[in-house]
Amino acid sequence: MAKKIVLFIIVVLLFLSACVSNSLQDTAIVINDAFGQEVSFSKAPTHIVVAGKQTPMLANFVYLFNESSEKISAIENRSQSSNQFLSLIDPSFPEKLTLEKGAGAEQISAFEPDTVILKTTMKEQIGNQLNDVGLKPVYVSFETIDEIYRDVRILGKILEDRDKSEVIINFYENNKNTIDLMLKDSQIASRVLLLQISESENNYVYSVPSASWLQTLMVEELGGEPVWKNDASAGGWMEVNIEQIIDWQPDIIMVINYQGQSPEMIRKLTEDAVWNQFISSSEIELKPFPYDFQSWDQPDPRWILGYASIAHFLHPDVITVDILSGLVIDFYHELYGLDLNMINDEIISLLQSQIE
Amino acid sequence: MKKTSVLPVVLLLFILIVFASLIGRYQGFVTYKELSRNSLLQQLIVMVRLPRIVLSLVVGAGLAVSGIVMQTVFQNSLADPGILGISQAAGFGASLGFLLFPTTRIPIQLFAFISGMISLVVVLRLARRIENQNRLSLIFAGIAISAFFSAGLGIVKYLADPLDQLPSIVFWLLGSLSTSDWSAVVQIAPLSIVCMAILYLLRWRINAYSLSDSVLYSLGIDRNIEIYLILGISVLLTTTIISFSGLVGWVGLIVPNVARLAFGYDMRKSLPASILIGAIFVLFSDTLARVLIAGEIPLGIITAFLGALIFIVLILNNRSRA
Repeated sequence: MAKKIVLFIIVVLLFLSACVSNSLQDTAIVINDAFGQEVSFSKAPTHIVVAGKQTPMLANFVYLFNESSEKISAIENRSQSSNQFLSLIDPSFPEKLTLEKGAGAEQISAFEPDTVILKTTMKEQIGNQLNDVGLKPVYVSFETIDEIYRDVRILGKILEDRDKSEVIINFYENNKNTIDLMLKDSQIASRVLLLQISESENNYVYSVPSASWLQTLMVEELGGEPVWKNDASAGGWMEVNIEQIIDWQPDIIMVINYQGQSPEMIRKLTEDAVWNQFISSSEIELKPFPYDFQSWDQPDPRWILGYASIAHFLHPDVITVDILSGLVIDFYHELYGLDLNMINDEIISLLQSQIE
Repeated sequence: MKKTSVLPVVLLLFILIVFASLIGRYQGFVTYKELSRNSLLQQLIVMVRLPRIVLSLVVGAGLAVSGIVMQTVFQNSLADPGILGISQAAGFGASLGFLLFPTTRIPIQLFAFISGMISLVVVLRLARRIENQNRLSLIFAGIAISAFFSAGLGIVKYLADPLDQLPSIVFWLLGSLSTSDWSAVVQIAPLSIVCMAILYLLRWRINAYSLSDSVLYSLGIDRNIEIYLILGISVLLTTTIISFSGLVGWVGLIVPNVARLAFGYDMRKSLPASILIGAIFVLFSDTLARVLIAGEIPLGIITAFLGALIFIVLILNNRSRA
């Protein structure tokens, strides 16, 4: 009888332990994504695909975490490639599989990923399809500073490195607070124009960012007056003409170019008769928005460098070139783990004509 | 025969040119006094507004001439470069040129012209092979070719860099004169004016094509050779314009019909009238495009909006007459 009781107890205990371990496995990781919806994983994802639009910027965020080089299975190929930069961090990056631009659920499924990281704007286009085939997309946004902090924490959970996500957020918060504090007593509110210039058939096309985008928010946070804000309520880049630019009467124009040609664009503009007269009669300044591997104005880990650059352009006597250069070195060293020689050789050298 | 005078149209065009020169996003409408003491404004007018006005006139006049020539030759008041698929073909060719040679305009013009000519030849051959030939066969062939090149255009857009090339291609496809300058005038205007001048000189012959084949035969006119020459010049004119301005729709369809309504069917009057009305239509539309709001409104959107309104008025007018 005693034997039977012992056996019964053992069986019950085994059953209970199995239940407990199962329930623990079922809820091993629960992530609240950018839509606030819960995504559960029985174990931490080890095969991750980064898909949809703006994947280079997403990949840059993901690669802030050391675990990425092992866990990322594939990245969708999009413009503004971050391959050159990510190869500095992860020498095996060029061998990573790339998804064709606009890859659908079928192509992504072939990688059998545990999860797919997508921008919130991709839900209708691809996210719902992924759900239908049983894959688990996790949405991130990275469109405002608060969203960047939230989404870095989401990535920290996915990649099982919450400590690093806090390190990243602390880096952002500390540096932003330092800049804000340094500018606390600076009262001059400049009329700022962030102007994207692209070249088309030897002509220039001028565009301004949407009022709700990170670029506009950063100018406002730093006490600048974004002169285009009231006219650019639509959702994308808005093309404007030279007359409108003059009519806004900016004190400073920060020129963005996604091919890294801002200094060259400024040089050409100053040779143009109308621009030349506009610049000399209004005494406006034209500054190239810094670009190393990507332009710093975007929802990318480098946003803090963009923030510091705007602060530098608005208050060069307070946020000096040395402070900005120091921040660049800290950013790549502390967040991406690049050694100082590499930073000087590969990055600082690219920036010399832009931030001095 | 109607005896509407062309003088009020010339006067209207002149007033519109002066008005467009003096109005812009910078300082709104300016007076001569303000103009004389503001050198930046003078620069803007000379270097930015005037080339754009000149190109508006060329685009409007050219597309209207091309439209009226095609409508007369095909004896179909719905035939225009857009309906016949030539605009879409030129759009495809120009986009391809834009994708392959983004920094120079000549390949873009060349690709647009070649695609436009291919489209014209295919439409004509296809229309001939459709049984029970009538005016609709040309339209059917045009719709098919238009859809074919639209699909090609879709592929080009898919392949384009979404940050660099795609916005430019999309904006270009909607039509715009925002990149106008004097160098563009030099590249676009001379060839367009030569094409228009040839078609103007041939207006007597084009007039004859509205007659039946038997009458033409009795007049000793070789329809085939001359038609291909005239259509070739029309396509060259259209593609030269489109390669710069993008797809500015409705001009070639609406303007000739308005011109004929006001000045009659005789090409000796309706062709110069189309030149004037086309120039007015595009100049007015482009002035709205650059002045109405802070952002540039694509020109094609405004011409489509105004064109559709005029089209409805024309249809209702025809119904009430009937």
